Amino acid sequence: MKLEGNGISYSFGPHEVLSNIEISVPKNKITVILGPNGCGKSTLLKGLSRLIKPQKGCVYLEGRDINTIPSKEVAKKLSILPQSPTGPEGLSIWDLVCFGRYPHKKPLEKFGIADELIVNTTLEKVGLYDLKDRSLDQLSGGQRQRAFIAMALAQETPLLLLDEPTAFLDMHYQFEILNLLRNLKDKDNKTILLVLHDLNMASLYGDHIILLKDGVVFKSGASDEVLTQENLFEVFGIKALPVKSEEGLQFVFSSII
Amino acid sequence: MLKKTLILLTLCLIISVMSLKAGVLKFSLFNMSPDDYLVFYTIRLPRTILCWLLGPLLALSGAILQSITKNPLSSPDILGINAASSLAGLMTLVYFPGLPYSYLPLFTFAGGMIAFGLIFLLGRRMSPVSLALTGVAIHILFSSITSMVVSINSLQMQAALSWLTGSLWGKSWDHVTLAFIPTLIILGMVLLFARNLNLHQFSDDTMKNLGSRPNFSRLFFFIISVFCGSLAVGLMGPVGFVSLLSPQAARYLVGNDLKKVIPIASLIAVFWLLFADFLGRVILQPIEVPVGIITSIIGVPCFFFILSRFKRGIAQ
Repeated sequence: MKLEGNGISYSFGPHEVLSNIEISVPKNKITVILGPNGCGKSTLLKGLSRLIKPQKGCVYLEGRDINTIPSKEVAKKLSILPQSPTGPEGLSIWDLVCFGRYPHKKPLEKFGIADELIVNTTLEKVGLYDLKDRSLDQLSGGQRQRAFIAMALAQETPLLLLDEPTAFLDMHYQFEILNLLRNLKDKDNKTILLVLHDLNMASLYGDHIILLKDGVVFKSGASDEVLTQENLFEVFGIKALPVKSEEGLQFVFSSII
Repeated sequence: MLKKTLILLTLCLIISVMSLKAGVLKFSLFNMSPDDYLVFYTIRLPRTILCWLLGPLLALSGAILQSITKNPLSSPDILGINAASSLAGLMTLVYFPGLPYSYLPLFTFAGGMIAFGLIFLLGRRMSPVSLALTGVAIHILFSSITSMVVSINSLQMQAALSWLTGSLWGKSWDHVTLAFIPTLIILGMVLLFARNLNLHQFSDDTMKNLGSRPNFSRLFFFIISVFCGSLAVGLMGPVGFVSLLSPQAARYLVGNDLKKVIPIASLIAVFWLLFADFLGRVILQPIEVPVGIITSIIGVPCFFFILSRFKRGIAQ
């Protein structure tokens, strides 16, 4: 499933958030978008997933303009988890995840055993099966986040876009979620696009890194090419020392400038 | 769910029978003289059936508005839609007295759509509280114009005033025919799209992600809700609280899934109308108290009860 953006520009009033972005999301890889606050990461993700329409440029899903494809059809190919998603308080985890099956159902089509099976396995994958009858207001921030990730997974789309899926999670669940995503990539051939803040996590899990600065792509490529001392200084204004280990790049931070 | 539906259905049937028997003329349902039968068939039966048709309309208009505005305080009476419908209906009755009453719903719908337009212009992207307040303002606007129309035309007011309080008096089989098909079609249609309506519990981004078009869906359901509310106003005049409170009571009983909320809320509304109509005919015999007055008298304490539950919910 191919997702590309050609010359995407987007502005809120006079303030241009994205300017002329060229992006191609590599297939069956984990791509991580990195960049400082307000550089347009979330806007880019929303544009790529047709939540907002870029004022200039075009997003192509499998070569077709995404805004001309019926939305329900897109929803079978691409799912997007927005930043800090919200749902009704009294809804149970089970019911929430069932909403992920919505795009696959015709108006009168019943919720079948196949759907139930999918919901069950996704709940097991995110480790919430035992809590499936809890309602959203009884969950911790991390459980909530995992519940919404499960909803996106239940959509069973080849493309997964997630805006800071590890926010609110402790280290254990950060690894858990990212391992889960890596598994989905390896076993189910999913294409995954993430916004992350943690450079270590990005370099550990990202096959492809896109570094954004002020609404333009500053650098993109493999982590050791992109996350260099100079680039990080340029984009984040930090002194960072990349160290190569067996796992990949690790960073030692000394100070901000 | 099945048990609750059956209980409510039984209650509605019992009150139907009671209301068929209630009135100045007393008779047994199984042993009627020809005169009794005439009263039963031409006056009481259509009234009772009309309650069964108008109840779902009121419940639907409230349940839909509450979902799409994500606001438990929404309903066509709170948002001023009913006030606009009533004004349009009143003006039709006063200025075109010769028009057949079957045209009334057309005018009430037009009035409701004007209020809808105002809410849409003023109230978009508003928090639940400001939306409710905007609605209250719109309500006051239209009800003061209504009072004005009433005071400058006070001579020809008798029929119009009875309509304005929301009354089932003198409703005939013609009203039943007028309500029958739209109610069934809309009830079926909304249940068919209930899954989409359920998505309005989420943010617009999540709705879009799931392949729904939030703005289009909101517009579509809003118009359906205005249509339901105005049709009910057109047929019996404005009746307060039923569309606001029936869906809330139903949510309390069966949760938030509209596939369950809509049937239950409809039955609650039917029961409420039947009960109010029954009381109205019994308490001050031989005078009949209009159904709209009784629903409001019952509605106010229920409203306070639900408000207190909200407060507790927020406190927790």
